Amino acid sequence: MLERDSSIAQKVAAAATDLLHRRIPLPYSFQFVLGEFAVCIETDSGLMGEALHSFNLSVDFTGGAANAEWEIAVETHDESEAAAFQEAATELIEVNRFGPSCALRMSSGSWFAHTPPSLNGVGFAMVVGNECDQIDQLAVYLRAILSLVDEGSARSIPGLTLEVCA
Amino acid sequence: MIEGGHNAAGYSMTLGLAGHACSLRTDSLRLMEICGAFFPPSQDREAPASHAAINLLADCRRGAYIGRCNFPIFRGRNEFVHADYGRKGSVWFDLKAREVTGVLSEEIIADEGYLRRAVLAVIAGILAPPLGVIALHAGCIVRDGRAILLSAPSGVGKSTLSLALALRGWSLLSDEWTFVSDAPNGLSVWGMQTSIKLLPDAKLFFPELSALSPAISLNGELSYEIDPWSFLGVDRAVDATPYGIVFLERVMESGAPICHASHADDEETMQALLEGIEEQPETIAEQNRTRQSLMQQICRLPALKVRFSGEPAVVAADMDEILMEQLYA
Repeated sequence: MLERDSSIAQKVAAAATDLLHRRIPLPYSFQFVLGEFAVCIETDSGLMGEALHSFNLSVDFTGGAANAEWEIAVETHDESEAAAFQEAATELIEVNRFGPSCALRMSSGSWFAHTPPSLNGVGFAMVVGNECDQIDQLAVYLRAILSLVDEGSARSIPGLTLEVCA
Repeated sequence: MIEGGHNAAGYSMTLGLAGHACSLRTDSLRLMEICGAFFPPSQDREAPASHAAINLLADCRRGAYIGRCNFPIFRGRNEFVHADYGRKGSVWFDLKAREVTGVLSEEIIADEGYLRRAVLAVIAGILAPPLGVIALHAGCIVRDGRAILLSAPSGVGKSTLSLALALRGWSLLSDEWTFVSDAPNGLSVWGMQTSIKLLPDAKLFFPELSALSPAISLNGELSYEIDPWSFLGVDRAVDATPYGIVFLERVMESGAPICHASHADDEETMQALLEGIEEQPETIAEQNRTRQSLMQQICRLPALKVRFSGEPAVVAADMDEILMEQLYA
């Protein structure tokens, strides 16, 4: 007689329906202005709010992405998970442009895409390590995505750049 | 024959994804050829203009790189999804605009097997929902143009049984993922030409596997990955009309092989099929309604529950008889 373990079945079912990790729990939400853009960060760590304050950004804690032009999810991972996510000690940034759209990918696995008019800005940041490392990585990420949208600044990002003809 | 074009920006052609036309633009002739074989263009000359756009670019900056893993890491927000292949490439999906853009290393492009199972199959699976196509976690076998879906959780023996039935003369459309779409004449099912994954104990039932070594697959399992059509000479079906669904349940019983069938009602069918379907964001609501309608049609197909144990060849022989009596009669 085959016995079913209902808890395993439920977990399998839950995992099978979010294979693309679009519904990772991110209970903290912060809104702020970056350059000319209203940004909403959703994250699993309150530390990110402290980080934004330390960057001298005026942060709104009332949360929600309703009025945001850019939506960014930030996942934090501690030092024990660093090996699983980090490819190299030095952060490399790759910029790709496809007609009016542009995207960047960082060696940490973080990425950001700006694809007007359908999507203004959407991104995902993976910050790994101790608290200082995570704050530093968030700063690098925010600088990179702001520079991406400002074409002139984007060309000065150290790393690789690929221009693609439309 | 692959028909395409060459323009200043590279190569272009029209692909078919479950009967839906998708435009492909790429700067790599090899990519165009492999994509054209993987997504056979629709034979319907009256098909409307492209429903989706796929742009795949070769990135020669990325040299040979032994990355942290071969499997893409997925992250998404609402209708935007990113598949990260590390330094080997990235693929971005805008599901509302139905656009896919990918930058792939020469290493990935050179490895056709990896390209098919880890990139193109992923593109098909993620792009299907916004086209109103459902990707079912089910194998599919075909006889005389009529298809039977074989549904079961991973590890039950879906692939093994699909292959055993194919060796008995059924055409193999898929072993794990089957795409279902709505066509003017009713439902259609479609497969992809990807390798079939068999767990290591399959060697006991398919002696030909002794010549190979199992390896870590995309989902981390140790398994054999073979092209059943070329390796075992089974017949391939590209698309067909679905005639029924079989829900497989393997029981661990010693003794003589068993294969018992009973009818499944609509509620059971819906519940079992829903377990493997990726939930979609509300921002593609129109396509979600199409999918709901499609699910209702699928659930009205004749359905059987089959409990089995024993060697695949013996079970396949019994199932052959059951299918012909209860679904094909």
